[in-house]
Amino acid sequence: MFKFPALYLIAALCAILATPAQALPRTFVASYGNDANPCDRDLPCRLFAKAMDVTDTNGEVVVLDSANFAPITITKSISLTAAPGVYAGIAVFQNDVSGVTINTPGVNVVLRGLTISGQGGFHGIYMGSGKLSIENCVISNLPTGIFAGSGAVVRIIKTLVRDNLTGIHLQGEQGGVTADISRSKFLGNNRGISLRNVSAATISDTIVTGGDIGIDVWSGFGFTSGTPRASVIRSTISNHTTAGILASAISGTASVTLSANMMMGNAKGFDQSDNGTLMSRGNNTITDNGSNTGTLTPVAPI
Amino acid sequence: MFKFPALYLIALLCAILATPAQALPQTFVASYGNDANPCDRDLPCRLFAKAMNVTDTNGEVVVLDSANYAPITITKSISLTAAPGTYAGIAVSSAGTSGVTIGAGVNVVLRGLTINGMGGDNGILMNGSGNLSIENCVISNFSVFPQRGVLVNTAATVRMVNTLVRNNDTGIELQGGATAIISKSKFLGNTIGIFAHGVASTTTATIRDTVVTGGINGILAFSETISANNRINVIRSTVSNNFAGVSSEAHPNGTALVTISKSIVSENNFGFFMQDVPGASATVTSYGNNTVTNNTNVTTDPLTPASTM
Repeated sequence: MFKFPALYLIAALCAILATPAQALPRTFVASYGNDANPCDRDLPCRLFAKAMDVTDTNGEVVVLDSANFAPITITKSISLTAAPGVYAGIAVFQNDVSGVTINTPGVNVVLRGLTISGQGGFHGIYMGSGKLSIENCVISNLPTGIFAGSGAVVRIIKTLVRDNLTGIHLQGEQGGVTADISRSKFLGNNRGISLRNVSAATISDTIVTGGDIGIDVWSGFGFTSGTPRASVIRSTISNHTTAGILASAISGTASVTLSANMMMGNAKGFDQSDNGTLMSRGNNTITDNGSNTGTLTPVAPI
Repeated sequence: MFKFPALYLIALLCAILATPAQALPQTFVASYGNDANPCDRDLPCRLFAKAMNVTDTNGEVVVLDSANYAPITITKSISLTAAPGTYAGIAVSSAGTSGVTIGAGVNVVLRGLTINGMGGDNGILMNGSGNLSIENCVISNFSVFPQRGVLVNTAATVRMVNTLVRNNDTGIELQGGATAIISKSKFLGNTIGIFAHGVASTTTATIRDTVVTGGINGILAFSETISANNRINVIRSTVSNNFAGVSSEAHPNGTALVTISKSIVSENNFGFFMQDVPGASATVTSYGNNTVTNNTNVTTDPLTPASTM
């Protein structure tokens, strides 16, 4: 008679039980998910953090339906993505500090279709280092919508940044920060786009409206060799209570290049002060502002 | 008494069993689909490949909900389409494969797909001399040389609209006499963003309202052989944060030309980069209406002026 060896059975069971969750190229989260699930299409997880852990490097976490998916610290190259029609929210409470935290050197992160809103927290997205692509997101009601620190590379596409104290802040103290901002909207932030220290931004087809200063490029105090600079094209900067564009350098340099923009309804359309530099292609529409300060340096087209 | 002829029954059964699935003008795929289904709206299939087989020529395969739909080789004129709100993913895991392979002279539309490289060769490989329209897609992470987001290696016509091409080694590479228009698209963090690199033919790309940022070469026309003529025309676009923003290279032979108008070229190490040798021609022509600012070096060589009309 055949006797089933018990040892086999035990070994087989152990193998099944001890198998770690298989990493997947693509994982899923949903309102009805559960973090005890494998995060696949049939059995999605609930929150981003668990899904990230079981996703391959360069893989994607896909949001299946509308819900709050909670703040996350991202430690690998990954994409968090929600299709249009799905509300993928991250509410940032005071204890959370930041909605999305990225502080791992060398990672390449994509945030697509997320809505990050402040409920007492500090940053919508905190970017300590690495590369970050922010696409089709909404970031609102925070002290700082997006903070980019030393050595960060940030790309912002079709993103709406609303009612923050500062919309995006490029800090760049230890290493340079570069940003490319395209087809985005900065609405009602006290400061829309703020550049400090060693930072550079190219801004195209973007609206910056409402608040104190629209595009704030400033160097001085503490960090004496700052070179913040912005290149702005085909954008609208309107309705600021201090200035639409500020270029000011108490030390170092600070420069803004303007081409084919409209600046209107600001207390000052442009404010070039201290040793800041404002360069204009001569094709900007600067109208209906209270005044302007300083001079525009002509820059010839090529 | 009526006797049912057994032969009839057998014939009828055979007819039912042997009838191929009826081809449909529209077929459907879904996460909950099954490839044993007829791929209609009520009983969708699971993957693109089965649905394509039962779709009429010039028909559409419609994605019903968010899931992975796996790589596919397209052999007929067809549209794969996902409406906004649906994540239609293709993960490309195996070396030697592409997310979408088109080998025949057919007209293909890819709309609303997300193609992600996890070791595969290309996001989209266009081998056939037909037409390809890439609309509202995301193509990413074909990041190891010589992987490409999109490779067109024949005299095909390619239209790319509202598409995001991110973190690839080459974003789109055009060879073999291809003709491309790229509109309102974004190329982020590709080693080479847009690359015209035909060998023995005229390969052209028109780029409008597009952002190319964060690479070694942003936009590059590169010819190496006598009969190679690679040409790129750029208007109202942004080229930023590259080593070489807009490049034209021809060596040891051939012609390379980039024409640029109403664009911004900023924060590159070289705004414009030209390299050729005697007997070859690499030029960048400017309409004198571009904003070129905050580059470490404006250009390696003088730009050729052109006048608007």
